[in-house]
Amino acid sequence: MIEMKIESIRISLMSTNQQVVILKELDGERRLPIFIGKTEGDAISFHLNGVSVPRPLTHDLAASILSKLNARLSYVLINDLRNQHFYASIVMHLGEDEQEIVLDARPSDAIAIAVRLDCPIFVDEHVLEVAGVELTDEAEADSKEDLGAFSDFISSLDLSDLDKDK
Amino acid sequence: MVEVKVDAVRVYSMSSHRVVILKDLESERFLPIWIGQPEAEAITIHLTNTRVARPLTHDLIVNAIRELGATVRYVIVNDLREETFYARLVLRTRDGKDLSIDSRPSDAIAIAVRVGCSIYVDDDIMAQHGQQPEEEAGQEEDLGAFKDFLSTLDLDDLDKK
Repeated sequence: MIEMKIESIRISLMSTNQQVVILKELDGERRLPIFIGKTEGDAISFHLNGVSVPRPLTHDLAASILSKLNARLSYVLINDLRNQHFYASIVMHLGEDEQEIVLDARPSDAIAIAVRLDCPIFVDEHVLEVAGVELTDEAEADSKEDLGAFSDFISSLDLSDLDKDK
Repeated sequence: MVEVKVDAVRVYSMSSHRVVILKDLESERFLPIWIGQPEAEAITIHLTNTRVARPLTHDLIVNAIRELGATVRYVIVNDLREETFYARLVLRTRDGKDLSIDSRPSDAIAIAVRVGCSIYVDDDIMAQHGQQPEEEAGQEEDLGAFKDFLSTLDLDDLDKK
C-alpha cells in the first residue's frame, strides 16, 4: 500500500459531467489520475477549499453518520482496477474490540469521505504500477521542445520590418 | 407526524433542479420539495430498479449503517426555514439507542427508499405547505380559456379564401 495525497482536481473541457482527481505519491513522483463524477468532484473540492454550504452535502451526511455511530475511519484504499473501473474500500474500526469493517466504495466517495474524516488515502502497489503515470525526464524534454518551437517562431520574425514601418 | 410516500420526481425543462412530490398516505395532500439533480437521480435510480455497476453514494451510506449494526427507523421532514426544508434521519444504534442526524430531505428520502423505512412530514409543515389538487372546476376553467381562444378566431376568414 502506497500513501497518496490529493494533488489536484481537474475539470474536463470535453465533458461537464466529469472531473479528474489526481493523486500523487507522498514519497515519490508517480501520479494516479481517476475520472470521477462532477458531484463527487465538487464534494471533494468544496471541502478542501473550505467552501461553506448552508446544508450538509451527501458526503457530509455520510461522514456525520460514521462519526455518530462511533466508527473510527482508519484509511481508504484504492485496491483494484477492472474493466476500466477503479475500486476502493473504506476501512474502519468499531467498538472496544476494534472490530474491522470494510466497505466497498467508488474511489470518489472514499476520497470525499477521507478528506472529511481526515484519514490517509492509499493505493495498492499493483494499481499504481498499471495506472500510475510518472513525469519523467522525457516529459521535461518535451516541454523544452515546446519552448524550442517558440524559439523557432521568434527567430523567424523579421524585426527589421518594424523599422521600415516607421 | 404525517406519513408520506414518494409520489413523483419531476423534471422542469427550465431548471437543473428537480422536484420530489411527497403524498400524504391517507389523503390527497402533496408536498413538493425542490432538490438537486444528483439526489433526484439517486432516488429515481433506486425506485426504477436501475442497475448500477458500482455503489452510489447513498448505497454506500446504507451499507455503512448496516455494517455498523445500526438501522434506519424513519426519516422526517421536520422544518422549513428561509425556504429551505430540513430533515432528520432517525437511526437506532446496535446498542439500542436512537440517534437523530441532520440531513437534507433529498438525502433522507434517497436513504429511506433504499432501506424501505417510513417517511414522515411534520404536521405543521404539511398543514401549511401541503397542496391539494384543484377540483374538477379547475379543469373546466382551463378548458374555458381554450374555449375563449376558439371564440376569438374569425372562422369567416377561412371561407373568404
